[in-house]
Amino acid sequence: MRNLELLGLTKSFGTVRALRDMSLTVREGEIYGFVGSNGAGKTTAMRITLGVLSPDSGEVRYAGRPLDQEVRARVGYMPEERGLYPRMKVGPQLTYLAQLHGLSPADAGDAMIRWTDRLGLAARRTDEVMKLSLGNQQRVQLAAALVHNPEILVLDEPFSGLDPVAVDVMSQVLRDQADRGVPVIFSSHQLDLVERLCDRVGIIKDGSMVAEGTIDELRTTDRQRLLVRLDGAPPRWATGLPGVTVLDDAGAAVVVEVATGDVAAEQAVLRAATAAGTVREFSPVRPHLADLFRGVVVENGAAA
Amino acid sequence: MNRIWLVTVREVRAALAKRAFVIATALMVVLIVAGSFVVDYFVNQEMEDAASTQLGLTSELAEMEPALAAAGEALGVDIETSTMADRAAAEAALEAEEIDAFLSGEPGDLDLLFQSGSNQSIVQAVTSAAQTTALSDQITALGGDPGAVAAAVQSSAPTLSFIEDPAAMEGPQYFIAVVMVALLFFALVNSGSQIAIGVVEEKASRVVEILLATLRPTELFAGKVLGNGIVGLAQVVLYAGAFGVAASVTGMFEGFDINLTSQIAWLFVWFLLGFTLYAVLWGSLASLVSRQEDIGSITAPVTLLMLVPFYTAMFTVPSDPDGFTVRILSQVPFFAPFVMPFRSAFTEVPLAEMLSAVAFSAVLIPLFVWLAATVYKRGILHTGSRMTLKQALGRG
Repeated sequence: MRNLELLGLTKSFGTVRALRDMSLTVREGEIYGFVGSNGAGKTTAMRITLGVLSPDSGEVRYAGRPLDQEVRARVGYMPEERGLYPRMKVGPQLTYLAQLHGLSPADAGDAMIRWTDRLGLAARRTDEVMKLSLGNQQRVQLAAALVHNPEILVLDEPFSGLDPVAVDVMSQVLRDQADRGVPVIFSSHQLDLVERLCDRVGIIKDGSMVAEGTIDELRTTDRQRLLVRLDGAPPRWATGLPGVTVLDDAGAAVVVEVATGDVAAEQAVLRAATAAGTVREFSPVRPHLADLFRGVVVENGAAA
Repeated sequence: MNRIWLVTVREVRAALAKRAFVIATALMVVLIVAGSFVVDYFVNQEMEDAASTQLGLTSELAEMEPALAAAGEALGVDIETSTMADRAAAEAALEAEEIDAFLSGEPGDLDLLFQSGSNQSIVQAVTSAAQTTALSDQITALGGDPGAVAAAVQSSAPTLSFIEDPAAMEGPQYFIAVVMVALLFFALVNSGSQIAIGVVEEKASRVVEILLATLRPTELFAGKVLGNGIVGLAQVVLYAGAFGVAASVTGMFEGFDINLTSQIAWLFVWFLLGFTLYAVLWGSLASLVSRQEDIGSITAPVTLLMLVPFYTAMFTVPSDPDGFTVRILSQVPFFAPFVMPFRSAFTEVPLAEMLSAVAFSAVLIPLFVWLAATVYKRGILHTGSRMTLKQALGRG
């Protein structure tokens, strides 16, 4: 398996410990969402992956072998702080970057044409980067990460500053790359996007990985919430049921919580509901990634 | 190696794409050519002034003309005489600088009039001519042949010869030396600051992070130094070529023993050595700052630092090109690129000294490049406030 593994990374800047024994795995062909608050260590982890920084301890492996300079040439990277030569034209700049990554001049030229077409920059090839709008500069930045046909993609905040159309283009490109078998890792604060796009998610806090798994795995907590909507029910119909906690009994919709897998309690709630009125809705409540994130990050990590 | 070359090619292209750079270079060429013609004009005028002297005479003294011409010839001065009507006409001519002096009176009681300040060669020529005239009068009175005596007297003057040609010593030598070293200084500062600007541009635009994801810092640095070195050398070739062509078209150094070709060839050698030493300094120090606004804090001290050997060369070499201090300085790596070309314009520097000076600089280069690369590696990813040199060279 061509997995990208970050193993036990530790990195300090002076007295600040940016990463503490942080590990994660991005599997072949999967999109991995890397989330965490500002300053949690995402960018440091990505820079270490690219060899731009070296870790104090730990290592980065790809396909079971240390990620060395030779393999790094085949990584596509989009740094958090966007960077291109402002006075260089789009076309020559992309061709140059492709050649630096080892493509022949002819292949580099073809790849530049292909990606500028794909990302809607065909009319901008002879413009200097500084003359493009911020959104278009962002597209050039993505093209720069993709132009050498990378085997691994590491993108720091690729969606920030994009309009909805560009977000769709970017999402589709990432999905296509993953379908080719490329391990894709990206960081983002747009959790709805991460939820929609990613196969797996890692949540980092203060330099350590606090939760990692598929969205479904992360959603599975030890307490299961149920939403019940009734017509014509008296208030407090659910109060006092064994093993059931009522969280919200404000109106027609009632939210209760039971222990995950406690079928008897679930059925007790359903029976009480049918007895109380006409059941319109009876469904488990799946917490959003944003809720999980808050649970993990804001509450001092206690929920993890 | 291939990647270093890619960076090199990009640097060259980026330099040539800068309009300001192209215009400045073209302007410099124009300045050099125009300057050469202006200097040539003054040099030739001065030589004419020195070579021929206009002497006004009263008509009574016309018989002295051959004696004056002969005396002038013996002194190496071309004396042309013209007859003046009276003292008033002569004063007007002196005022208008048509003549340099006016001779009146009669043999035995001559009167020499100058506008202001005497001209030593005229005084000597007139004195000698008056003596000759007085002598030939006496010889005639004694029944001898003054012509034969005069010929014998003239030919008995010693022939002058010099170990070092005094005429070639000063003017043009100094001029060539200043032009060469100033060109070198200009080219070094120019290409050095191009590197510094390039390094900071990559840092400020953050493109360096993408580059360093595939390039080693040393590869990027080496490519930048090479690329800017090629551009700088091309500039020196262009400037020196313009100067050489202008000099040969005007013929300003004809008659002087100056080997311009060898001077220019050595200039290239010293550019390459000076560039390698100074450019890596510029580049590595530039990696310590993060913003274009801070670049002055790097370029100003380095330029000042380069002025020290530049002025040292200008002031110590001409007075004593083979003195102990100059000979030592012309061997010291950071001084040699300025002192040695300056020195070799004034004196025949032994080839062994030339080669040892080159060797000293060349030996220092790897050490210095290593040091600069270390600073660059540390500095290039450091953002925010300016990093001190101590931080860059210290641990981590």
